[in-house]
Amino acid sequence: MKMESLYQDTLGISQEKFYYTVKEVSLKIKSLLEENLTFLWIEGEISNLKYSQNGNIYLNLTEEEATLKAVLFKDQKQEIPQEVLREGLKVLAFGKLTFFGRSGEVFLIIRKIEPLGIGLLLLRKEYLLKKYHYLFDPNLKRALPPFPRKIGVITSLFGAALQDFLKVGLDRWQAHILIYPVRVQGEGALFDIIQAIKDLNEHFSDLDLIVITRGGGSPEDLLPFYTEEIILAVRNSRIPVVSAVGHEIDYTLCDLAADKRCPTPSAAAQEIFPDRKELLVKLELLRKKLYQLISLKINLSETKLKRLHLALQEKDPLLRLIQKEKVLKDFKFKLFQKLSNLLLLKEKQLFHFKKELEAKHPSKLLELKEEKLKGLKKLLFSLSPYNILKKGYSIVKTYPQGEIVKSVEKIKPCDELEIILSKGKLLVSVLKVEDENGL
Amino acid sequence: MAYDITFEEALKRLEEIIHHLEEKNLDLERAISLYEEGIALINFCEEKLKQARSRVEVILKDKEGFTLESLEKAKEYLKNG
Repeated sequence: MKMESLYQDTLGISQEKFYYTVKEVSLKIKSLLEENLTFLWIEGEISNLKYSQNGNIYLNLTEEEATLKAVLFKDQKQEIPQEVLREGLKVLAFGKLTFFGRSGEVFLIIRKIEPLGIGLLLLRKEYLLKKYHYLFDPNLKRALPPFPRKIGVITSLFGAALQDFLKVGLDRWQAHILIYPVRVQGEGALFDIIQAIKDLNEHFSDLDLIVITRGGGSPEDLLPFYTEEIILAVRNSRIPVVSAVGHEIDYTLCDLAADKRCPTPSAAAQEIFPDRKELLVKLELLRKKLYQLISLKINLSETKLKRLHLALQEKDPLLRLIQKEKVLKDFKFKLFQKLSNLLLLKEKQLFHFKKELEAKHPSKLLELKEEKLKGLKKLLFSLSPYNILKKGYSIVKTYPQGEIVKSVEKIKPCDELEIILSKGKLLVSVLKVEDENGL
Repeated sequence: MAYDITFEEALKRLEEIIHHLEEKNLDLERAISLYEEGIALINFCEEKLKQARSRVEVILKDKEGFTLESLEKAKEYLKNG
């Protein structure tokens, strides 16, 4: 520290002042720092993380507007878990504050870093997820009974979570709900919850499922749900576990280990319990559907029956008999017709023959001859010269020769002549003979 | 009609019955008996839904074991330590 005249004032009076050199000031700052703020824990968010080529890691610890530079020397790196070095992570850093004279900057030389708050939860979650990855296998998730009769609820008796859960749950479904009261945050919460899971499994084994629920809270409040113990207890539960813990967006380890995760207590009630009213509606629909199906079936059967009935009728033996009978009748009729035709024909023929025969019968012939004879006789009679006699004519014959006298030749007076009259004869003697000329 | 089955089993059986009834080659007699069974199951389920009553109880643990208490009493009990 020196005291020298730097300049003169307006009056020309030179004034003396105290001053430090840069080196002096930087040494002063360094010693001030080291004496008053040697090793300390500082809470801040990591930002501006840089990995230097020389192996050192530089970062800023920030809180709102304030920033503090920090360095992690390469020989200290092994002490720090790598996952803690992450942009934006809220941490507690332990180290020594040092002023670097060369650059005029204050640095925290980090020895330890521990995650804080949500950061801690995230890191723990990441670590445990990796460690117990096999316990988070989706294939391990058990199905929830669709119609639970008896369930266990692990929660605080005085939280809004229970109220919400019961309000939604009881409105939807009627079940036997057993509440296992526990502390859901702070000291003892983890122990309570784990004990509850165990007790319910051992002493209330007829439960259909267990619900673990609480409302959202600060990362610290949710700490019990980010533990190894909770994962193991949930996975060791024989009874399926539903977890509705914490925030809607962030899944706790309890959520992830559970058989079913729900974002809120009311959502859990909705998930677990079927809606009674919806079911009644569904049953009514099923009733209608059953009725439709059976009606359809009956209609189909009726149609089928009708068709079969018709088919059967077609194949009725009686019907066949009737048909056969008809055919038979037809045949009979045809046969009769043919036969009678034939008979008729034969009869005709016979009649014809008979007629012919009759015609040729000797008596007939005789008759005929007789008739003919009669005719001839008649004719003969009609032609008989005696017939003329009746008309006044008479026949003159020679006597006793009996030759018919047609002319006066050979007749001489006194010849005897026989005159045949219609009735009787005359024997006369010729008195005179005259020829046609009266000579 | 008394059934020795759970609500869930009844619903499952109902679905089965509907499924069967949708088969084309089902005998009418079988269909009718399925239908009757289905209607009985629906009645059974409705009865169950209407009969069921909720029960909310709190498990209280002490040295002697567990007791069940109503929500109000349990709250009072726990408030008073």
